[in-house]
Amino acid sequence: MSIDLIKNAIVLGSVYLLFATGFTLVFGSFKVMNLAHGAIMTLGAFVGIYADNVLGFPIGFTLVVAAIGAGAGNAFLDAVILRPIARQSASTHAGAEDLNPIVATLSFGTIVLGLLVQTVKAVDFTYKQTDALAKPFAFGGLTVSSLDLAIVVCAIVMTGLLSLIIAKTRAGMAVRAVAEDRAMASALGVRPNVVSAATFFVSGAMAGVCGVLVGILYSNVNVTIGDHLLLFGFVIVTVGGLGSLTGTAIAAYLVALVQTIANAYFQAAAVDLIVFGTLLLTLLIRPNGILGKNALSAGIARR
Amino acid sequence: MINFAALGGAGFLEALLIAVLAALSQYVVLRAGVFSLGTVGFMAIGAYTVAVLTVKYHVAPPLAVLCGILLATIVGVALGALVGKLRGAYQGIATLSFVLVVERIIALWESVTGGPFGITSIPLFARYGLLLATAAGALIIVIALELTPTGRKQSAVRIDELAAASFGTNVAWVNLVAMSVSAAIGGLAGAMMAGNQFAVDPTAFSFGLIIATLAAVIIGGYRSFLGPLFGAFVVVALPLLFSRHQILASTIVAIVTILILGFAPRGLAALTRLDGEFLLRLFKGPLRENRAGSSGPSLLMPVSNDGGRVLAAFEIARAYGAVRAVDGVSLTIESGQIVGLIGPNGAGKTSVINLLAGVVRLDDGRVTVGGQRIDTLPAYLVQRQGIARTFQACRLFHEHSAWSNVLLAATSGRSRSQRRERPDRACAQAAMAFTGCLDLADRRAGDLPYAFQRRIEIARALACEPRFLLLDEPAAGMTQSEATDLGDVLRRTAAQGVGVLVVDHNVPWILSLCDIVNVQHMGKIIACGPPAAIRGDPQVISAYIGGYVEAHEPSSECGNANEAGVGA
Repeated sequence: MSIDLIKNAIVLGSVYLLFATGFTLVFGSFKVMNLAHGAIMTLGAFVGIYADNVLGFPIGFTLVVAAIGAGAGNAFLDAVILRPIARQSASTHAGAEDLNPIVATLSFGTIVLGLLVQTVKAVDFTYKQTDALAKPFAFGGLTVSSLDLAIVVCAIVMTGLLSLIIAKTRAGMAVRAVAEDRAMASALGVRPNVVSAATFFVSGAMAGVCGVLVGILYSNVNVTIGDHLLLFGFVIVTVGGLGSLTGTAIAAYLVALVQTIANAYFQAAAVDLIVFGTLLLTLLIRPNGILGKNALSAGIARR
Repeated sequence: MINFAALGGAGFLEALLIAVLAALSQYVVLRAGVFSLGTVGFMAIGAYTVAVLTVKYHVAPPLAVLCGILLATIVGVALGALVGKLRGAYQGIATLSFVLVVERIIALWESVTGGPFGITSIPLFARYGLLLATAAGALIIVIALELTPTGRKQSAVRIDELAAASFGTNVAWVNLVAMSVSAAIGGLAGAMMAGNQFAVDPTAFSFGLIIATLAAVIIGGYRSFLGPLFGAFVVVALPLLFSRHQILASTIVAIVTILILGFAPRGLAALTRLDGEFLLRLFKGPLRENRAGSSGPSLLMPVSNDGGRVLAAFEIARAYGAVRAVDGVSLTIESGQIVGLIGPNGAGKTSVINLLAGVVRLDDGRVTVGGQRIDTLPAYLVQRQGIARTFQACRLFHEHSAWSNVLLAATSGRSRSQRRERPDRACAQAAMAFTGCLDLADRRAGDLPYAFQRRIEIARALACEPRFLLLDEPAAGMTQSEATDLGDVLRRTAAQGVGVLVVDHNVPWILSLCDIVNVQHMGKIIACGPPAAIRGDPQVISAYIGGYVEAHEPSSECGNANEAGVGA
């Protein structure tokens, strides 16, 4: 295995990590499988395109603007769509294991993409102010562009920071409390609506950053870039164990490694086959992912 | 603006009928609590089997369709067995990846499937008439399944898997049945799609179709067989209505979907009252009439004459991490006896019940019924040894009526011979009459006040005609008089020869009720004996107030154990 292959796997894994961390964050805390996450990432990429192509912002600034745009979109999803639906479901005893939020996030994703298509049409865009990221570095025999470095650093720093915030700070404690029991947390003075909107914002912001970086990496932004990532995001959060940030990180690099190696030898459909096959196998061996909690009552499944 | 003409043609009706078949396949699993997204994979298998057989091997379409259904069903059984251990989102994602794997295999296997170009010139056998007939047939099968005991168990498993297992439901089996039926209908849907469209290619079975099928059932609702019909109509008709505004169409459909979710969270079908339970009542006649007609026995069947049976636990133990919740507990319950288990919070009382009922695995020790080991059995088989239970927090199937809660237990919780001896409905009715909640039969369980839910839970346990009844805090939250009534019910139950174990906090109530009382503290049984002996036991008093108490502090009133201790 060449060293370039490993580098590619690490860069790809970091892209997946940026994408999947936000996904895991929302799932882990609010048990919402956010199928709009891909659309939110695409939204971030296009906010970035606007900042870059039209306003001519430097790339660092573009990243911040894209993060805010995508974060706001995700917070809107929580406040305007998910929360009223959850309230309505609760008032009619629709049950906790409800699938309504999944369909709602999916529909929201469709709306976001529909409006994007309406605005930008099916045209490919590229980022222009990216000279700062084109600089190559040489480490021994390996050449790394500053874009590669930026992606890896962004992914690791943001994910690390996030797990630190969740585990150590007051804000993290509030998120964990609301995640565990919304009503109880509000009885203790936490404002669940603020906490959930903020969590969705952070999740969306990471997707937005991911969108811009992916757009630069592939020198192409169009309305379909989120689709494939969403599927792979699924695989990663599941293999890692839903709701576990560490598991997500392990799975992101694992899936990227499998995919990069398979890419070197097989055509695209076969690569997908290998990746989804890996997912199925992982779940058969570990029904709750690599680091997922065992929520299943042993007495029912045991033979 | 809105293109109503689009709904006029045969094209719309054919698309709708195929969508109905797909949605029925999805509905069968969702109503059983199996979160499978495999439908589209089964459709792809059905469609490609028909395409390959008719085009390459010139097989007659009816035979090809049968082959498609058969192959899809075989794959469905295999997939169901594989994902049977997964739950919730994991099940969804595993089955989703199954669909993607099927799609990729089709795209790669060019020699047979034509790869990305697909197969063309499929004979057009599935026109409007045939589609209508198959959709109607599939609907009838789905409704028929819903009305069988298996179908009712499936809905119970969706609402509360653990409670369903505690009433003799083999969860793995009813899930597998759901998966197989879903696969068969999915295969049929795919076969019809192939016979309707002249050509198949892998892009037809994309992520988009998975989502549309799922959305159809969510929009329509998975609590009534009308759901997939309504939902399929919405997802097929809406895009056509707005087809003149291509880009906006998907956005408008999404907005309408969100509005439906917001205003009818249980799906459009919930706006009608037509569902499986309604049909059951229609076919079998309303319960009230039946009740008025029968002055039948309101007592339970006496327990079969092998009355010498004993439920016994020997040195059972279970630790959660470092906490030894149950630490070498031994106790016996003989038939006709009421045995109490009391102890301070966290003593491990509920854990004992869970161990006896087979919900939690033993670390050590064994549980026997009449000398036969039962601790290696899964919960539903433990139940079939004649052990029924209630839960600390009420676990009724809250969406069902009180009547169908009890009826389900009478159906799934009794042996064949018991069911022959006394019909399910008579048994359920007797159990409800016995606990005095017959007049609540038609109410939705989740809407009842707590004390009544308790009674129905006990009626549900009694409807299994158990040999042993395990009650976890049955009197919690009850007023004094309600608890006294409950005590009468339990005494009458024991008089029929049932062995009863009661766990509760209400010490005076337990002492007045039980023949034998066990006291558990920190996982261990610290005292055991008739109430009179327990009343004055110094160790018991010390456990309850947490300090050392003079040995001879007999309190005449058992209920004042606490105060007596504090006073001393």
